[in-house]
Amino acid sequence: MSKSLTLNKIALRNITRRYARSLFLGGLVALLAFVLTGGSLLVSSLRSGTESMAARLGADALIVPAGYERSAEGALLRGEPSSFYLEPDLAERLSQVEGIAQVSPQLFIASMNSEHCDAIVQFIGFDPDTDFVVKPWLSQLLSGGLPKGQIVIGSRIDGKPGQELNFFGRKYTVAAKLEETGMGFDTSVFTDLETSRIALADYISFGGENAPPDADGVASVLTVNIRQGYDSNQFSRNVNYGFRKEGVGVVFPKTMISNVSGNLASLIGVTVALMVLLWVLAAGVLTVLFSVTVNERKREFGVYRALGAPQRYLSRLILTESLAVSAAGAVIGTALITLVYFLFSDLIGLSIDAPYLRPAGGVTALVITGGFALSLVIGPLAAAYSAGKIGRIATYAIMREGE
Amino acid sequence: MLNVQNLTKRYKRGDSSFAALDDVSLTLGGGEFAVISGHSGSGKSTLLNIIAGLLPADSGVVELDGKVITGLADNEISRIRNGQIGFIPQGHSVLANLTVLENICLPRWLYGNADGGGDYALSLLDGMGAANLAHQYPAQLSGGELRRVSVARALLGKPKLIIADEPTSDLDAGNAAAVMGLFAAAAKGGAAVLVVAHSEAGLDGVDCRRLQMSGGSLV
Repeated sequence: MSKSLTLNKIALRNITRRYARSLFLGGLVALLAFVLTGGSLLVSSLRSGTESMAARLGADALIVPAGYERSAEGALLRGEPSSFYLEPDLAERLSQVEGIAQVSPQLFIASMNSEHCDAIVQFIGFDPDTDFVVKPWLSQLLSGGLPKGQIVIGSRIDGKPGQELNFFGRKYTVAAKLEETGMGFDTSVFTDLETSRIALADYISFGGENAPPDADGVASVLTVNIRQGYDSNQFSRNVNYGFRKEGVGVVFPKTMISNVSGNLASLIGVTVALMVLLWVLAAGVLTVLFSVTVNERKREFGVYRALGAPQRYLSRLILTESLAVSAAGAVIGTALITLVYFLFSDLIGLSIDAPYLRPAGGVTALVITGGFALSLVIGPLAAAYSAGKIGRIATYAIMREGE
Repeated sequence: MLNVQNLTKRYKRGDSSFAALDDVSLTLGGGEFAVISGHSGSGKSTLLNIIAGLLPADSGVVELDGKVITGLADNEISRIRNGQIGFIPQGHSVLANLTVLENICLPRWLYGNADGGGDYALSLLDGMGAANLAHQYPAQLSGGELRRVSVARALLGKPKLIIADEPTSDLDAGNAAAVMGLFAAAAKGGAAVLVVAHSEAGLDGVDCRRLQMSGGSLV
């Protein structure tokens, strides 16, 4: 006895019995799903990274030693460790520049690639009394503030709260670990200014590169909030002209963010345009392929007509077959890129010279679902033209042989 | 059973047109077996396709069991073709992706009838000496075996009317006689059987009404 064959079972049989054709069509959809979902994940990770960066670089301006503007950007954006310093009295005088509403020093120390340090990081010391940049988001982790002598580590640093890490030959207890930020903070260590000056003294004693003669009163960066309504260009001129002999530079994080955003907008635009183009091309190729396939099978469909299948049945059969092939391809392509994305997300982030942060779970799920859906619908959409005219073609094919 | 009145069908060829069917009328009672022969292009297949509802006529009427079936919507005529007409198109019409038994049961499954009539299908195959082919795929069958499968499929629903277009065209004499014998048996069972045949192959000793078509007319 033979089991009843429903339309779905017949469609499945047609797919499996013509496996070479089905594999090719499914493979094409899988490739599309891989690229579409992958591209969308990349775009959303870049957007997420930029948003994270904007949320954490809360100062209007950074005053750094002349020539170290790029180093400051590199340290903040990409976690490139660097050490640079403003003389103690210079930092003091700079804090008096006209236009400043808030100012707070930060000390940057590049860890050493030796047995004296457990990891290669950017050591950042901030002043808990005056800081307005680090404390707002650090307080979400440590409601009671950062205890003296302890550190907060970035997400990519090996270690966990309570553990001791060695920097410049001294043990520091990890008070907390940051969530991923997609920027240089992921490989940074935060501590209070006083503790960081102890670390700097150790750094000097080990003969660290570009070290100042003395750790007392030293800062690398002055984070500045400009007085409301005060022209930022005028502030920049105040700093540059007032301290031209000493040599200082001004970095505007908002400009930095907007430069990064601008570059990313172009990259995202090109990526999205390529994805749209790919989708349209794939839809075109699949439309032609389905059309050719249906044309090759018109005699087969004609037999269904002769047996009493209405035109609607044939359209449904074609759409069901195309949906099943699309679904298989979309599942494989989406699953594969999801696996790659989660397994190699850190590697991808490191290889991209831009803020890169895996978005929240819900957003990631939405992006993956969107990529899957766009790949899933392409089969039935591409087959719709053939499905629409199959009744006429099939009838003609079955009659033709007899004429 | 089958009443065809004044069927006309014209085809265009370039700027001119020609009559594939020219005022054709025909009646066929239940239990009657008729064979239409004629040259290629005489209109035989066009006549069968219009009777089966696959092709619209320019004018004229086809009645099946007292009901006019010309001009019906695709869904209606398809259901009639499925339930009341056993249509065997010209050439091989067995679906390659289904087994022999599935091919035979397929017409019933098309309208969601879970009972594909498998027992009856097996008995039909058995009657044709082909029961051993039930679970084979068509690629493994000979031309004669494939044709018998087509006939078994047409007989499954015990249709009122069986239409076959050149069912013996590529068969040897033995297989052609066997197939015509199946039609004769179906007619004896009460069905009206209308067959188009290019030659007399398989008709020796078969009791049937002989009709001739030429230039779109029955002569």
